[in-house]
Amino acid sequence: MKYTRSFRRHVLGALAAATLAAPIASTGGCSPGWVSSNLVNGLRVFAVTADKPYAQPGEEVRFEMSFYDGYPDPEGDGPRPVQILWIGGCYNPPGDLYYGCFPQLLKTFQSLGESGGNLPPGLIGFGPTFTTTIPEDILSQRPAPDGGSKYGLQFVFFFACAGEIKPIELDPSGKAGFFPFGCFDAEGNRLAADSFVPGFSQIYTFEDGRTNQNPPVAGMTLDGEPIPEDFTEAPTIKACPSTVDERRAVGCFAGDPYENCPEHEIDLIVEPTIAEIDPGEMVGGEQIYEAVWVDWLVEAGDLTGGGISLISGVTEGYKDEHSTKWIPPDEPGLYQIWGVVRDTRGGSTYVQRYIRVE
Amino acid sequence: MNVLPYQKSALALVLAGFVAGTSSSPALAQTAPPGDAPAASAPAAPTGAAMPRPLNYQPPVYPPEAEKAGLEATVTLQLDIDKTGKVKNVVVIEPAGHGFDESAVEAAKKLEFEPARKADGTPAAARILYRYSFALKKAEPPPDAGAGDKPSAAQTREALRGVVLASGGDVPLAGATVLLSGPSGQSEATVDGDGNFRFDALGPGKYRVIITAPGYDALDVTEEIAAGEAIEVKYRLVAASDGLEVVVRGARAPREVTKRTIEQREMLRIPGTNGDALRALQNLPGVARPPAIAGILLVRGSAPQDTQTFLDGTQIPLIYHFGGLSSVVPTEMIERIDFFPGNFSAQYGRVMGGIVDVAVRAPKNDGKYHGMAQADLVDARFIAEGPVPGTKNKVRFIAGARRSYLDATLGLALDAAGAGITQLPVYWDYQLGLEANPTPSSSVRLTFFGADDSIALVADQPPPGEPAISGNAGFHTGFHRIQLRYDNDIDDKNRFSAVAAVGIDQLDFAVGPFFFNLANYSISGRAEYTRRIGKGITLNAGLDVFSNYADAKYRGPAPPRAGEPSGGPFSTRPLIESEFSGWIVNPAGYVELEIAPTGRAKLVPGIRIDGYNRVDGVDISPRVNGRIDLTSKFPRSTLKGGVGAYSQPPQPQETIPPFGSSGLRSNRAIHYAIGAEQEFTRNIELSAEGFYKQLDRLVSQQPSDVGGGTERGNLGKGRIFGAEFLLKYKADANFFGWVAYTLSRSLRTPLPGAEEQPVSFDQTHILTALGSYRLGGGWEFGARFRLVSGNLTTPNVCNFEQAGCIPNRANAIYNAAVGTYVAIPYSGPFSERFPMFHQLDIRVDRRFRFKSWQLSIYLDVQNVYNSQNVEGIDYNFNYTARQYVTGVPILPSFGIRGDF
Repeated sequence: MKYTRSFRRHVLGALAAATLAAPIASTGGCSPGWVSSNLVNGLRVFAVTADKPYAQPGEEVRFEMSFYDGYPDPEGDGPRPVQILWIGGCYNPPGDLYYGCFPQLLKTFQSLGESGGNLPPGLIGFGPTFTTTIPEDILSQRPAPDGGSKYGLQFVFFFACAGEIKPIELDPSGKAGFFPFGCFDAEGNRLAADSFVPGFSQIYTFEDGRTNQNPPVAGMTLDGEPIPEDFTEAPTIKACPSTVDERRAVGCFAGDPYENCPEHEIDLIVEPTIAEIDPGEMVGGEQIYEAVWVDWLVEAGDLTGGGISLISGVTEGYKDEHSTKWIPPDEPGLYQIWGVVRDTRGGSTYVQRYIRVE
Repeated sequence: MNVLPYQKSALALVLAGFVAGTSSSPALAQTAPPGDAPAASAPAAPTGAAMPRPLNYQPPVYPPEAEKAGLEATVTLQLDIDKTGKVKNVVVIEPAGHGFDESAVEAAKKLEFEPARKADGTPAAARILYRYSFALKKAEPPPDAGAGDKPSAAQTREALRGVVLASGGDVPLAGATVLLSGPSGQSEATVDGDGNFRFDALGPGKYRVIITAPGYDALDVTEEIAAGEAIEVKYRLVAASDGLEVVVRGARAPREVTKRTIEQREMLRIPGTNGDALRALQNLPGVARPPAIAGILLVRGSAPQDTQTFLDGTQIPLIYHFGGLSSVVPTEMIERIDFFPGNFSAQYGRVMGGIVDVAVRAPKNDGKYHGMAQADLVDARFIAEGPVPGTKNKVRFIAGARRSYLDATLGLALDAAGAGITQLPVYWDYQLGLEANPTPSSSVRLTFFGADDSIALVADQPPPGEPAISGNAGFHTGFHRIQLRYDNDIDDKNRFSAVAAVGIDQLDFAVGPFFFNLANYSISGRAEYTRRIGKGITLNAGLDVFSNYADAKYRGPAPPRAGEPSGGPFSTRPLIESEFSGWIVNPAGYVELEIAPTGRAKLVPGIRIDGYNRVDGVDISPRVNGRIDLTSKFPRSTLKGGVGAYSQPPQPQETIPPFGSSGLRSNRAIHYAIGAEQEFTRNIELSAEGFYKQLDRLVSQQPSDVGGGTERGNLGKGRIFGAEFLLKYKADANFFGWVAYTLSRSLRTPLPGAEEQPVSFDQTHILTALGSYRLGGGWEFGARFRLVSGNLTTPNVCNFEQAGCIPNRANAIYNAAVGTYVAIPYSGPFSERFPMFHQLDIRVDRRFRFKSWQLSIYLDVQNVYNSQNVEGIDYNFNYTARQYVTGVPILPSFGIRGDF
């Protein structure tokens, strides 16, 4: 009987594979696909948190980067040291688009190169934090909008490198998009793209003076119990014996990779009032709130409950259910889980906890 | 049953043909022109031209062994008739074996015809189909059978005598059956070799007379015989349409530059198409290979929306069901397809690319019921046709329907196999036509048709980056039309055709709480009057009106608000609901002359005027096409060319704020074409054509100077150029095939000052070679090979195998405010070409003939050697790696079909 079922299964599978047209093949239905974006296996920047996501002209804003290098280290020396370069000095680019800053920055650096003067504050910075000042004319140089409060926008660029940052030659053809820095190891070898992260963040300024706070998060839970911040008190759970390769072999005759593996619920400790009012925005005559969600990231294992959860919606408000499910890896060890909470107005908070797997 | 051997009928059937040379054209794409009298089935005979008319009749000998065995058969022949009317060559198209084929060929060689004539009256060689039907006749009843008492002296005087002829040629229709029913009961007579029949010893009264002959429309009349009267009658039967041939043409010779024909046999047998007529279009020169699951037509480097599809003259929004698995009309319902890759005549407008006009065939007119059923691994279909009961064959119907069942069958198989996909597309379509002939020269057809596609996907958790999406996603599209069509060959100089339709198009899209519903209620009409105003000069004048009431409902995320970093999840934005409704009215008129100064030349100047209520300005589009035969004898050599202006209104979403901009003008193109056709043998012909399309006023968008958003304007321009070659072996009894090659380039300059760039579907080389051979014994084998340049893409990660690729380049920039990566395109728009596409498809058919029906089975295997053809690139979340997305793997399909 077992043989019969198996035979039938393979016949049906062969029939399916043979007759189903492109949709399956073209979507990679029979291939394992990419490693999940929620698995941290290289240098990752989780968040760039501004102490004032909305700031006023002349105010000082401090950015702090949260990151982790999950690159497997064959030498066992732990995470690689990370260099971080910051570049400020761009505001109100055309179209509010980040690449509208490039001509502006080029002009600034050319001017500096010609004059040989000192770098103005807030233009260049190094390390995990960076401080800049909102220009006084960020609002005055913008035209009044058709409706709502006038606003300005300032961009901050960064380059995080698990090695040494060096300038690189630009594509002489000018066709390729570029970023003018590369990341190199101690021997001068240019490192692969999962060892550096170029990026940007932005701060809004409103004429009506509105503010935005980063969403407050009190902690993280495992199966309903708070996880201590101290990793020595990390909770312990059992490993799931399924290997990484077995877990990736989805579809096309694959079995259940999580058979006999318990799922663990991961959640954040937040207040129902986590979302702020979004001033001036109404829908159906009712005030709306900023939306708040959490991106889940793990050092190992699988997020079977999804990599993103909505905490509070713009109209429906706080959602009671915003947890995810995690199945631990097969290898015992101490593993990190991150929850990066963001609101739709540029606010962010990140939480990190350890879980021991044995 | 008591039977006597008898040759019931051996009848000529002029089904289709082609008249060499040039002549005028139909008023509408589907219609036959004036002066094309006898062959109701002839799809391509032009105005002023005449089909060959039989001058004699040669009955074939009934093969003695077949007669003894009680076999009946039908043999279809292809006759090459020279311009003196002599039969020069006979080829068996539909063999029957058992000696029928030889007998039919021998008889056909003795036939004589009035030769075909061109528009200017000069004789021309022609190729026609001709059918002989062999049937065993029932035994004549004994003289007293069923008559009862001996008739009185007065009764014996009443009689009906007459002759039955083929309309148009006065050829006796030997073997035709005359069925008489009336006061004295029912009698049957068979027309003799001179076309005569008679019924004697009838009583006075009304008699119904039904005359039938294979290949001809049945004639049903009533005769009244007075006491003591003997009447003499003459009946003429009109050749019937039985859909033996479907024609696909690049353009009809009179009005356009090129003409290409695919017969139905070819269409049903092209490997890799599952016998789908419209998918067969993709094998013609000038048609690019669409992506694996895209049901689109890419004609001469134009965008998919630049080519418009009509069904019997009425615009339809779709040509293919989901994924291009099949077209929205079954091949068996199609009479022919007019395909115009460019330089089309002034009767068509509102597009800059090509035109596909599909003609649904008329119901069979032999007074009998016919049917077809077919099933394969994807769908099942049926067609039924015949006279509408109670109408005495004055009204005929044809009805068809089809539904896919991938969801019911393959879904279960996939689920059982653990493929993780249980939702598959569902499609269906239907057609119902009613046709009548109010007068012998006119026809009225009422048609209902439609198609529907839907798919639903279950999402049990939010997709990456969109925390507020939950629930199912669904997509549905469909259309329905009610169409009334009227054609009238008023006389040999005048013709009028009109078609009007009302319909609805539906487009529904839903993802979680978001949806977009669009209903378009359309009213459209076309009318054309054709008049031959002098020797070699024909005038066409027409109106073409399209109006549409759009009713759209939208619930979705609001545009990004001030203070929200861009690039974040759209599902977290506030929901907004909005509705839009309004009229789009696009009237047009055109005038065209067809000038044939000699029998070998044709010039077609025309002008079209288009107006649009949502677009600024009126478009005046002059066009001219011409062709000339360099020789009047075989082998034919033809030069051809044309130039014309074409306009296309912006897409609705481009003109409707806030998505679009007001004040736009139509897109514009100028088509140039020049080419030649050369016959080598009766079966082998080469055609070559060069084309150039200059595009301007293309609608494109650019970022707003201040703040976010974009603006649209007529800012773009472009050019498309290339050459097409077709070496074709026309179908004979055993083989058909062709090699088509297209060399082309399609370039656009989206904004002033921007660099000119190719479009994504620019395919430099397109080579298609196909053929199908009848092996005998009902077996047929075919193969198709395609070699096509890969599509273009804008890479975000360079190909590591290509020189100059920097593997450690920063391919994306991280937007920390929202936690997503934004790709930094590498080396400019559409700068990387996918590897060359190559694929071999094969098809094997086996046909079983039975007395009154036939059964066919086929195996169609796409991508025999499982070529991993690239259709796209997939990137990981932060653009540090890439992998090719490949298309259709080896894909066998099995089908079975029965006809009666």
